[in-house]
Amino acid sequence: MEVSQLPLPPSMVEMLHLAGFSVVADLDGISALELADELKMSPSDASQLLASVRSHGLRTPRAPPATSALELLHDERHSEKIVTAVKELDDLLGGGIPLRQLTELVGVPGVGKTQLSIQLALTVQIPRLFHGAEGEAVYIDTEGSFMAERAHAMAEALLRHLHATAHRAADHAQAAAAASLRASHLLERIHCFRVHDAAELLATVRSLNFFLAERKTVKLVVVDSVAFHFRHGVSDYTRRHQMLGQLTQALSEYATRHSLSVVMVNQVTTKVNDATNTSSIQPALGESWAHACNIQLVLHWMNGTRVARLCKGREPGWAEYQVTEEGVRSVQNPTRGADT
Amino acid sequence: MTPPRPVPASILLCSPAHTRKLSLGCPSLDRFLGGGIDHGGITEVAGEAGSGKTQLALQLMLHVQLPHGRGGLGGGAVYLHSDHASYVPALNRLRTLAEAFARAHAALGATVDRLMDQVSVVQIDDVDTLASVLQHDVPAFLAEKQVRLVVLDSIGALFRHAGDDAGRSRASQQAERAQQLFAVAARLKSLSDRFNVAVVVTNQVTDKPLSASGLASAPAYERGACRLADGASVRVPALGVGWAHCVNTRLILTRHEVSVPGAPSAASPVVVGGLGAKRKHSSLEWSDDVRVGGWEESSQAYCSPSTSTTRTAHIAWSPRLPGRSMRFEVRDDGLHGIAS
Repeated sequence: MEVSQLPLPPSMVEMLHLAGFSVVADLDGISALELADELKMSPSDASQLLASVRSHGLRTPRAPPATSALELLHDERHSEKIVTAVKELDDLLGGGIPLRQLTELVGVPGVGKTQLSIQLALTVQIPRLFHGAEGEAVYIDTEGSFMAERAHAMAEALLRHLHATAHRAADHAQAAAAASLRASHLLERIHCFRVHDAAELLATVRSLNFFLAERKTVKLVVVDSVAFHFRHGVSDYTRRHQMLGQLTQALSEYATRHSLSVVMVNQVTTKVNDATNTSSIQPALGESWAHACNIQLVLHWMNGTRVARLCKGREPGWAEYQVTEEGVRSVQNPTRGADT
Repeated sequence: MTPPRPVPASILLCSPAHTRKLSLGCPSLDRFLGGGIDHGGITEVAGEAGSGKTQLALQLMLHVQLPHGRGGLGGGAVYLHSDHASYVPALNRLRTLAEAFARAHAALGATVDRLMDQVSVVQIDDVDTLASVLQHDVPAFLAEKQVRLVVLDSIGALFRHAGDDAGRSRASQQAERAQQLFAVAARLKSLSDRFNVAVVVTNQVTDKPLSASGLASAPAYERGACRLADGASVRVPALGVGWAHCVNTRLILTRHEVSVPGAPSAASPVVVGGLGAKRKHSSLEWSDDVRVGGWEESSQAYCSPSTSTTRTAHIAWSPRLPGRSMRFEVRDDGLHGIAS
């Protein structure tokens, strides 16, 4: 549990953060005097604070609230996956990008990371009648690459697809559901945040705590990209590591608490080996960050075709894809592979 | 710090600042770019000397001054200029362009003096100067004046030799340079978003050894550049994959000498019409069609005694446009597309 979730005044939370206490467990075993020293406050204030923390945070976890069978049934109707619309890739993923998980999307510039992210912000909205998650999306844009015009074009294409699906199945309920949707509705349900530095990114992710509590229908949070602002401005490695940790921890909690999918876009970097004077392409945020994600999708080029490689989470494998005017789609004669 | 508020994508779609484009003043090039240069994010124009990249930047600094209805953004330009040697020639070219521009738009009250007055030139000597100018001078200026375009010409010249220091390892120099590059990019993106200005950055090209797998499997950020006569290396925009991640839209300008009499269509069709023709075959596929395979044949044309210059603009990637190419020519009044 994060200290920001405690019923404390924001100034107190900020003091705790500044002193390096981000999760309640960090306060475990600390005495009031030690805390007073750390936070530069009076011992009586510190002891009150600790009392408040102990009463809310450090007690043994409660049993989860009972769920009624009706609620469970209701839950069942929501899809647990967000389709990528690339059939071969969805097959690899067991139906799509799963809810309740953190997925890393890493790849070279221009390969389609943002395109796939925008598309997921639309496909997450596919109605339950079409076996979709029928959720809304939060899009945290750190690079200024989210394009509403592009999202609109993809939304139109998605609606055409839904109409065609309903028509093929001769399903009147589906047809009615599709007819009631407009591209503008889909765009209304993508909530965009534009952030300009790492501190703003962290503050935004923390503020989602409240936003997600209000908007229970959000089923996808995209951070495009998580890497950019950590590649400048935060030169201190310890601080960078700490901030990234806080970021992923918060997102990971949201994923579980609100049954939503978190997609984090990562960049690549050239690693130079001074000894051999060779270089290679690697994900920009290092190994210690990577293990925060349950699923890793690496997007790259292979023989002139775009390929999505599933490197972590399920059986490894890869699937070709293309970026068309409609969005991210299967190629015409797909080849698909299992990794050896 | 107040965390940013979410904006629904439907609102972004209706926001002129998010969707308005800066016209190049040539209908076919504007169509090629889906209306023109994006208002938000960084548009990079890369190319070798004489490819027309500075000309394009100068042209934009005049067109931006036109009112919205005429394809401009109704504001002036800031010209951050890094190359001492080309400072005076660049301003002379701006003046020549302004003369033609004033004649064409005399009805709107355009005069050479007014046009030149709306372009503020800042000489940038090194990376530290750039960082300081972007942090202090430019924001102060943008807050005061009606500026709608910031041009940095060129980022490659500033960064290619930055941080060269014999006493340190290559890896540590690269790490520092990357930090500075990302900081500059973040600053430019933030200016673009906060002050509602378009940002155009020119870049040089550099020769890179071609990987064993060849050009066909090269990612988009290494395509759209030409293969060199030696067959073993390729000419790509400078500053590597890190900077490439910072670029929202990458345009590459190339020039080739081709023999004049009848040769282009018969002997080396790919050189003049190949990219366009390829596009027709795969109009759905984005950026995969920016292939350069045919260009190696064109190197033979360098030997031909009677040659003419063929110039091509390539979209290497864009968040809203497919990768594609178009021929253009440079006239007194700027760049003009040649419809194929």
